[in-house]
Amino acid sequence: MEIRGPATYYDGLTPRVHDVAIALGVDALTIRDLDGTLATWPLPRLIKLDARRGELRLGSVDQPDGRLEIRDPRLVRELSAALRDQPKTPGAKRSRGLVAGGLVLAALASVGVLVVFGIPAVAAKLAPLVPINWEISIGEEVKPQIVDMLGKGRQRTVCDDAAGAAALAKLSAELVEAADPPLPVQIEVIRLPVPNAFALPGGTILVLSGLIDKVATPDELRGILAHELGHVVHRDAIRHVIETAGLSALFGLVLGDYSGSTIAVLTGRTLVDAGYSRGIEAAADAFAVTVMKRIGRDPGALGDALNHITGSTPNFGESLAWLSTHPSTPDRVAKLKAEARAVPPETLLSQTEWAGIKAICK
Amino acid sequence: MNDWSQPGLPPLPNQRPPLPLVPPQRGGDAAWTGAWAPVPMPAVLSVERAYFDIDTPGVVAMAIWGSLLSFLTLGIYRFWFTVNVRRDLWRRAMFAGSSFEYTGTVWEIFKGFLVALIILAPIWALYTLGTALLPSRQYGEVAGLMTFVAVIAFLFFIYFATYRARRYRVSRTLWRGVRFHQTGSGVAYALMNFGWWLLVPFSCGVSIPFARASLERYRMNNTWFGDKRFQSQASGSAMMPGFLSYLGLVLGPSLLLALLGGVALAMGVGVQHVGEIFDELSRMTKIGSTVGDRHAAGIVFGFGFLILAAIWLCLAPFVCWPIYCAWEWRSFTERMSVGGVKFRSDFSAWEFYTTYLVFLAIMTGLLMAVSMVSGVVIGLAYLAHAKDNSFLPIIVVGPLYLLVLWGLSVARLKVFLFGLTGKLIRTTTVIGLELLGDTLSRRDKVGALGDDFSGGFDIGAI
Repeated sequence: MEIRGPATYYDGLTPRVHDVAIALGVDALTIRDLDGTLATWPLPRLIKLDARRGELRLGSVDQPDGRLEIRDPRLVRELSAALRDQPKTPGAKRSRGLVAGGLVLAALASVGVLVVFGIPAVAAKLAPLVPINWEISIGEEVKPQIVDMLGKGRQRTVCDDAAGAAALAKLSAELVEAADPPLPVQIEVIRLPVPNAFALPGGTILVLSGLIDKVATPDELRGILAHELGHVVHRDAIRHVIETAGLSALFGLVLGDYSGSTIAVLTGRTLVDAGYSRGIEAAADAFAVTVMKRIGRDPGALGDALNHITGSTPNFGESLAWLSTHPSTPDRVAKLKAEARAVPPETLLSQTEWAGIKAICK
Repeated sequence: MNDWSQPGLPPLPNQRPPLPLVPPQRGGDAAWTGAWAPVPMPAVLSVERAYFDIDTPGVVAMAIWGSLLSFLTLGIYRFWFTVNVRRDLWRRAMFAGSSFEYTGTVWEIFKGFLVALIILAPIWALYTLGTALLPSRQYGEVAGLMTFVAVIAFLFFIYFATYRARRYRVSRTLWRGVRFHQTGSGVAYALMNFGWWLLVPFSCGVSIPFARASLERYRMNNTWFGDKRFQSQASGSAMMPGFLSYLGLVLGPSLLLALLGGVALAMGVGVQHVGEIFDELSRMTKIGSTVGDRHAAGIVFGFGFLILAAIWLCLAPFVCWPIYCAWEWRSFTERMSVGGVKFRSDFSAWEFYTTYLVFLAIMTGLLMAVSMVSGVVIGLAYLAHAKDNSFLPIIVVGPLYLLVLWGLSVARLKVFLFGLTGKLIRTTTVIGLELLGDTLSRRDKVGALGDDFSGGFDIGAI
C-alpha cells in the first residue's frame, strides 16, 4: 500500500523549488516531477527533520541537505503515522538518550570526586611549594586589613598590656619552639568579646579577647595556640587560597555560568568549604596533641577549652553540623579527652603572670 | 521550476503587509554564468515579509524544563538545552514560507567547549596567580602584569570566540536545502575590535558608529549563502546623524539642567540684583520662608538642577541606547544584500522598549509575589515558635530565590530571545528573493566543525 501526494523538494544543491509527487512504498520513498524521478530515498536511510508548524520535513542520510517538505495535511498525517519509528536527526538512535543520561551521571560523579578528593589533594600538594617569603608578604598585606576589620570603631584594637604581653611571650616561646614552624610566628590579642582565634597567612596568630576570658588554665590557652600553630605549620591559609581558586574555576569555568547557578555554586562552595575545613581542623587538633605531649603538658586541655567556648556560642544542633566549619565539638572534645593525661602543676608561669595574661585587655 | 510561490501553502497568521517599495536596481549578478542556466528575471521583483512563528506554543515549556534540568545537572544539560533552543528558534523563522533549519549537534558544542576550556585554563591560572597568590608588595609589577595579560587575553578570546561561534551557527543554518557559511578570521575580528575600542577614548566616543559599522561589514561581507556572498555597505558616517542625535538626547538635557543649576547658584550666591525672580520663586514655593531668603532658594534650586543633570547623565546613555540601536538595525539591514536580494526593516525602538517593559513587569511581579510569600511564612513562623528559628529565613528565602531565578531565565528566553528575535524578523521585508534561484551550494571542507567556543558558556545571546 503506497502513500502518495504532493510535496516540495529541494535537491541540496540549489534553493530551487521543485513541486513534486511523492510515493512512499515498502522500502523506499520516490520523488518525481513531470520530467521523471528526481530521487529515491531508501526507507532505512530516511530522517525526520525540524520543520515549521504543520509541516513535515524529510531528508536522507545519503543526500546531505536534500529536503522534502510536505504541507498537505492528509499526507502529513499519513506519513507521520507511517514514519513514526524513523529517527529525528541524522544518526540518532533510540539509545542516545540513555547514553546521554549516563554521560551526565558520569560527569556529575567525576565533578563530585574532583571536588571532594581532587582539589584538596592538589591544594595540599601545592601549598608547600609556595615560597615562604610569598606567604610572609601576603600576610603583611592581609594582617592590617583583618585587624582593622575586627577592631572596627574601637580604640587600641591590639591588646598590649606590658605584663600580660611578656607572660604571653614566655608561654608561646616554648610552644613555638616545640612546633618548629617554617616561618616566624607572631601571636597577638585583639580586643573583641568573641571566643575565637585565627591563623593568618604569614604566621600571625590572632587571639580574640573573648577567648582569653573563657580559658581557665594556661594549658587550655596552650592547647588553643598549639592548634593554631598546627594551621601555620600545615600552611592551611595558603592551602585555603588554592582551594578557593580551584573551586571557583570548577564551578565558574567548567560548569558554566548559567542562570540559577549562582545559588547552587554558593551552596556548593559553602558545603565543600565546610567539608575541607573539618579535615583541616582535625589535622590541627592532632598537631596540637603532638606539641602538647612534646612540651609535657596536658593535650586534653584543648578539649576543656572547646567546652568552655561552645557553652557560650549558639549551638547549631546536630542536623546542621555539616554547615559548621569546625567538626562538631563533642566529637573533637571526645578525641582530645582520650589523649588527656595527668601533668605536674604549672611551673613555667607564676600566678601573677597568668593573671597578667587574663588581664591583657583590661 | 522557477515558481517561487508555493501552492498548497497554508496562509500565515498575523502577517504584516510588506513595506511599500520601489523595486531596486538589480546588482551585478545578472552576468553570472555557471552550470545552471540563469533564472529569467521577472520584470518586478517580489517583495515579501519575513515571518517568525510566535504563536506555536512550546517555548515556555522548553525554557522551564531546560532551566530545571540545567540546574539539577550542575549545568551539564545546558548543551542539550542550547541545541533545543536553537532548533526551535530556527524552525520558527521563515523567508517566503520556507523555515530555516538548525543542523548543529550537542556533540559539536561540547567539543567547542573542551577547546575553549583548554584556551581558558592558562588564562585563568595567570589571573589567579596575579590576583590571589603572588604577594603584590613583593611582586607588585609582576602580579599586575600577569593580571593585565590575563584580562587582555580573556577579552581577545571573547571577541575571537564570538566570531567563531557565529561561524558555527551560520554554517549550521540551512534554507531550502542550501547552507550558509562564514569566512574571515576570528583573530582578525578580535584585533579589529581591540583597535576600534582603543580609539573610543581618543575620539570622545565619536568612533563608536564607525567601529560598529566596520565590524558589521566584516561580519556580513564574510557571510555566504551557498556561493552567494552577502555584501554590507554599513557606514559609520551614515549613522552619524543618528549617533549625534543620541548624544544630543543624552547630553542636551544634562547641559541645559546644569546651565540652569549654575545660573540659579550664581543668582542665589553671588549676584545681588538679579535675584528678584528667586524672591518670586521662593514666595511661590515657600522654600524661602523655610530656608531663609533668596540666596537659599538659589542654592536649593541650583543644586536641585545639578542633581537632575547628573541623574539624567547617568541614566540616559542606557535609556536612549535602544533608539540608536533601532536606527542602526534599520540602516544596516537596508545596506545589506546577497546576490541582488535586498532587505528593508521597519523595526522601531518602541519594540525594544515594549520588550524591556514586559520583562521588567514579569520581574517586578515575581519579586513582589516572592517577597510577600516569604514575609508571610517567616512572620507566621516567628509567631509560632519564638525561639530556635534563626535558620528559617535561609530555608524559606533560598528556594524562593531559586524560583525567582528560574522564572527570570524562562522570561528571558521567551521575552528576549524568542520575543525580540521574532520582532526583528517580522519587521524585515525581503526584496527579490527569486534572484537566489541560481545559487549553488558549497560543500567544501571549511566545515567549522565544533568550534562553537561560546555555546557552552553564556557568551553571545544564542
